[in-house]
Amino acid sequence: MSFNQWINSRLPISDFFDQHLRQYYAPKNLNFWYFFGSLAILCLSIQIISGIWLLMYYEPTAKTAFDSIEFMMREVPYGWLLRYVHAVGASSFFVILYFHLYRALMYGSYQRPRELLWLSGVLLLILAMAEAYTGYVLPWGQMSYWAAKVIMNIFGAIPFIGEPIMHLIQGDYVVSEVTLQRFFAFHVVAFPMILLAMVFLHLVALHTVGSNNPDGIEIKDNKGADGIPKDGVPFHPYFTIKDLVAAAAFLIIFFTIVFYNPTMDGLFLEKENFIPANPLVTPPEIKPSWYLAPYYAILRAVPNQLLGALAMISAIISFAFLPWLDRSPVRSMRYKGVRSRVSLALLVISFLSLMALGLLPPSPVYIILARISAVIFFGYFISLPYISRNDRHSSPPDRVRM
Amino acid sequence: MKGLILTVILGGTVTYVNAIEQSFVKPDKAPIDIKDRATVLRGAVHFKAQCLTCHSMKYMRFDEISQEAGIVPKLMPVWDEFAWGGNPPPDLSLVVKRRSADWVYTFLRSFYLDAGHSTGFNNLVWHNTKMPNPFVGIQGQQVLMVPLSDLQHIRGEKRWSELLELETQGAMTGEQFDDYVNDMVNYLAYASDPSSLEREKIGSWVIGYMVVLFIVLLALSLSYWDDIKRKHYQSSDK
Repeated sequence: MSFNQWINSRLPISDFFDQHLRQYYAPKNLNFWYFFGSLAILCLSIQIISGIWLLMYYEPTAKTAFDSIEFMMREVPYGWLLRYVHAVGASSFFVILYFHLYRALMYGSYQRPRELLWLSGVLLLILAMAEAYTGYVLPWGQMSYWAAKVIMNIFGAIPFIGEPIMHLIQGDYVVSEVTLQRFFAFHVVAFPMILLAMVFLHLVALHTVGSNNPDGIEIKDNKGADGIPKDGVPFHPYFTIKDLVAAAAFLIIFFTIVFYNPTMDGLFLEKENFIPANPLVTPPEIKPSWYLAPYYAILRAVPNQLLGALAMISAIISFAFLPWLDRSPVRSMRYKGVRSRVSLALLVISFLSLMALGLLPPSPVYIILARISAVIFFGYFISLPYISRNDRHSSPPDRVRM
Repeated sequence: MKGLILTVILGGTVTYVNAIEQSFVKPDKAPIDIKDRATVLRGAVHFKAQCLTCHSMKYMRFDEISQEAGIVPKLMPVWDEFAWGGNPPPDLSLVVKRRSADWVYTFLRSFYLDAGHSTGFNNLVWHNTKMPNPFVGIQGQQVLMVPLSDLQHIRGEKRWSELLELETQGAMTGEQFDDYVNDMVNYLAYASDPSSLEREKIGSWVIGYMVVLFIVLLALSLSYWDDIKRKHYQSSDK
């Protein structure tokens, strides 16, 4: 009995590898937009590994948090590298997630039978936001403190149960050291564990239904005599090598930022966060991280706090309903009609302008622009059932194009 | 409007303590170069002489340049939050990262006489700053050439040197003083992120390695996919 057999009769490592890599058939026409799934896993791994090292030096108390990070930046050998990798990694993760999400919108990857794959993805996005937000508070800079305060007040705005919930999360009547320590526990233990479990479910769902592709047709409908999809190629080695190329390309950009402009001129690490938290001094303007800015712009656009919070949460949740809102007979934008294309373009434009507006100081003109953008943003979801049903779609080919 | 929105978002629980900082001028570009060790060190020496009496540099404890200039932890002042009427001089370890080198460079040179302000001097970059003018002796006294009330209208359109005039000459000429301040800003920029020297040196190696890896992987990937592509385009059954 060989060593491999001995192992595999007890723990099916090879079988698992075969089943999920060598004999997992992915459509051969997967393009650029399909790199972002594996890149997200790469980024998550970078975050976990760099995070573990940060944890060795970081001290989660109001007195020492800020100092411990500056200590790391200056006196721990390569501490600056780990810290910048972690900070740039957080922003990169969201760049990747938003590209990944856009890919799904463009090629209809959320449509039947991938609803649960999609829902787990939306949940992952929300978890990533929670993880990023709690992590953002940990350096205990001015913006950390006030961003924590803004989000806590959103919870507090919920009628009746809002205040108890807010007090439960922040562990105090105001945002304080107790909050910092709770967020520390969430960021380091609770959320990463849930995140990893969700990633696992996301992959299980993916491997059950198979990847969609730019043509939006099911490769499983065309199987050869051997039961293998004619348009499928084994994930390993074909996509492992392709994804490695993408990983290298991504890392070139990633390390260029880490080594040459790690704060991205205040976009990845805000200037205001280089002064320690001071509960008595409100910063001149409270700016969210860029990846949360679109939702913040929506929050600010609504004059009533509760309604604003509601609108903000709906903006995130809306994506979850897409599988049931989209009534088109085809999946991919390649075969959808003009109206579908225009409305997707409008969604992207409104999302990007909300992002920009969320980062700019609020002025009356910007607030009006944010309101217009928010209406367009929600308009996409509201009009989707009608537009997708009544659009002039063309019919996709039987087999994938390359 | 801004205040209102902030109050709405924060649920009306916040009282405003600080007035929003006002700057009236376009910042000058600081010609700093933190790779130039001699100027950084010179700046550190100036910093020790001029700034360390009030401002600490608490995160620079063991670096070679600060040590050499004599900026050491035991000399650093420690203020409690009530010192100086509740405005203790801030630690300057991160000032350039928080503001910018250009901001500090412009701020330090744009003090002018203002009898109406508590310190006797006001500043074009930070109106009503609580910081006294540390450079009267070497820069000389500057006066505002336009009425104070006009400043609001010309915000950000002019440079400080267009609005201020030297009334009495200090110990240094204008150019000497600019260099003096610039060295200081150079040290502050270095202190804000001492990793940048090491970072940029390692960076090119890391990125160079990734580029080579990318090329090798790309070639490998193309050769794997060659096969799939040929079959796709040859097969009649596609």
